Amino acid sequence: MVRMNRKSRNSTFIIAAAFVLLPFALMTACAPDSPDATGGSKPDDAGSAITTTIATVPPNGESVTVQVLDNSYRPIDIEIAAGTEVVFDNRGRNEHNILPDSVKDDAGLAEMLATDSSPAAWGVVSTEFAPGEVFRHVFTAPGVYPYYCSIHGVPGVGMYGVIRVD
Amino acid sequence: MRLFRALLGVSVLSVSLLACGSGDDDAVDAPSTEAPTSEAPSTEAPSTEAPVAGVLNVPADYATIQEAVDAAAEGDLILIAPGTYKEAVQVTTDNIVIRGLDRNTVIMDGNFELDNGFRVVGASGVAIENMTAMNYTKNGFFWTGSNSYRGSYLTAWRNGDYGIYAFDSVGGLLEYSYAAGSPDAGFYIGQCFPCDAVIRNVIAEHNGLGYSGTNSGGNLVIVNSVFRNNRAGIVPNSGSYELCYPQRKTTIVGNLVYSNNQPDTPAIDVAILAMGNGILSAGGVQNVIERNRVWDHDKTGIGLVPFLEEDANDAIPAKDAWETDCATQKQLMPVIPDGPLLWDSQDTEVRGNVLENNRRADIAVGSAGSNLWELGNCFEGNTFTTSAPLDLETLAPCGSPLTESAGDWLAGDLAVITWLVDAETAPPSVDWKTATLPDLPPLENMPDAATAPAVPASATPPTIDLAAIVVPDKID
Repeated sequence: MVRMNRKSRNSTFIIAAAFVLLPFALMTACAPDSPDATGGSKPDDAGSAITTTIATVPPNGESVTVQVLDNSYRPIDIEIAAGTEVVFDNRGRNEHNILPDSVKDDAGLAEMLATDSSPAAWGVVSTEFAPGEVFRHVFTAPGVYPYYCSIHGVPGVGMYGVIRVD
Repeated sequence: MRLFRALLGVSVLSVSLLACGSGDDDAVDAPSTEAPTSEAPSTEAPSTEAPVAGVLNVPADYATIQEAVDAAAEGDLILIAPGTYKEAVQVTTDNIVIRGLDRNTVIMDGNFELDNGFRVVGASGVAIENMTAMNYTKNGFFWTGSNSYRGSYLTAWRNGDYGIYAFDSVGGLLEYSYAAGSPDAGFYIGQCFPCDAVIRNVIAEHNGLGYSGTNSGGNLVIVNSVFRNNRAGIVPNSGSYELCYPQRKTTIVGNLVYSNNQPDTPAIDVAILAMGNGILSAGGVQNVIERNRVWDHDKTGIGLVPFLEEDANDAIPAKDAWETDCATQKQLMPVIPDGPLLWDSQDTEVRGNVLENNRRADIAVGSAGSNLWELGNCFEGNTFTTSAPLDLETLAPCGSPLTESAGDWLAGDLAVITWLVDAETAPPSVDWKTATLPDLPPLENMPDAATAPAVPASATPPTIDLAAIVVPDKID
């Protein structure tokens, strides 16, 4: 009765981000529904600039597990406090991935992780998330993080989930 | 890969599955194992005429199938001309029909790079008809999250996971189709209860499993079909690695199941473990296996065995929860058990089957510690020579409570635990990309493909007159 040792993968970005804290940064608008609106400044319609920086918080020591089954995330919808680690545990027999809804596929995620340092950039590609493997990510910024498995679903349909970070 | 150790622990078919002999002018040579060379479909010049309302022609009106699918509205028919289409098509529009004009020459080719020939995600009423999907890294045809689906006259050949795959979908019909060369199953219906689905008049060969159905059942019937030369034939099973457990209430009637000992197929681990069995319920409950003809297997013709699941994700539901529908069960919080789970096959009826030359036993029931007389499986009216335990129909008749005192339940015990050892020395999986497969036979085309009206999939599958099905005669 051999079982492969569970391998743990951490989100490299978020660990780094957790140490690049912006504890006193304030959002100039209401908290966004999606973390996509994070970071930097952008021109508004009138050509002026507004700041949309999201506050991030350090890891709070809390951890929540999401089972990754064939082909479902369980629970589908979780609500956590900012700074909580979510452990995605691939307990199925198939490979899966975890992609933000804004990303189309593994290649898109790889590109995002390489180029985007915002809290919206998170997830794991299928080649790094085989059965028995674990992916850990600390959600440091409030927002709604919808995600899905591109092998077995599309955003909001099939194999998908939501992380709500307060 | 995470290792699961599992203890798997027609008169003539009513409609011919193969083409009607040489009279079928639409038949073409079987595809070779090499990827077809044409990059684009054999095209006709794009039509300069306005397309017929409700009919989208590929490539005449739309250069690719995906473009036509994206343009389609509910009720539309997409007609695909003969050619090789190197596409992975995703469908999210309800109630469309996608049809090839010729099953044998409308070829979806994944070229060992693309994932699914067709993936229907969350859309209901989508029917796919009359074409071939080959060389996809995942599945030939894949429905998930559908409330009605249909696959008719489909050929799935040499695909990397399943041939024809319906997951978390209900209201299904898979018919007149053929699947070969997948390491998992040729045909799969899983994670649904009640499934309200029918598989009829299909052929599965040279797959890891001919049919697999994890945690599926409830008005799910598999009839008048052929499962041959796979590692194992028909294998419904329970397991908490998918939702909606246990597997239950699948009805398997009137099938030809033979020679499922094939050593040179691609195969997942469970297929290797199940190798040499015809119809194998692995932890399934309340199934009905009736009037099938089953022969030439190294292990059992029909076996009811436990499924041992390590690293389980939830406790086994109590019997009084077996009627819980899938949607309700998904809302329940799991209780991760401390140790492995043993899913026993229970309350299954095996009646009126005809079995021969199944070397370990024609009919069998096994456990890994549970008392067999407490599992409620029964055997009646089968034509057989050998059983495990011995004299099984006397020990476990249908229609009356089983008792320990009925006889010697240990004599000729199946010793299913030894299958774990057998699996260690079984022929390993063969790369699905290069496995030797039989040439595709010319396969029956959908009648009147060019003119038949579009009929989207119905949420209510056809009613099968099970009582009218008799044990099919041998073929080959």
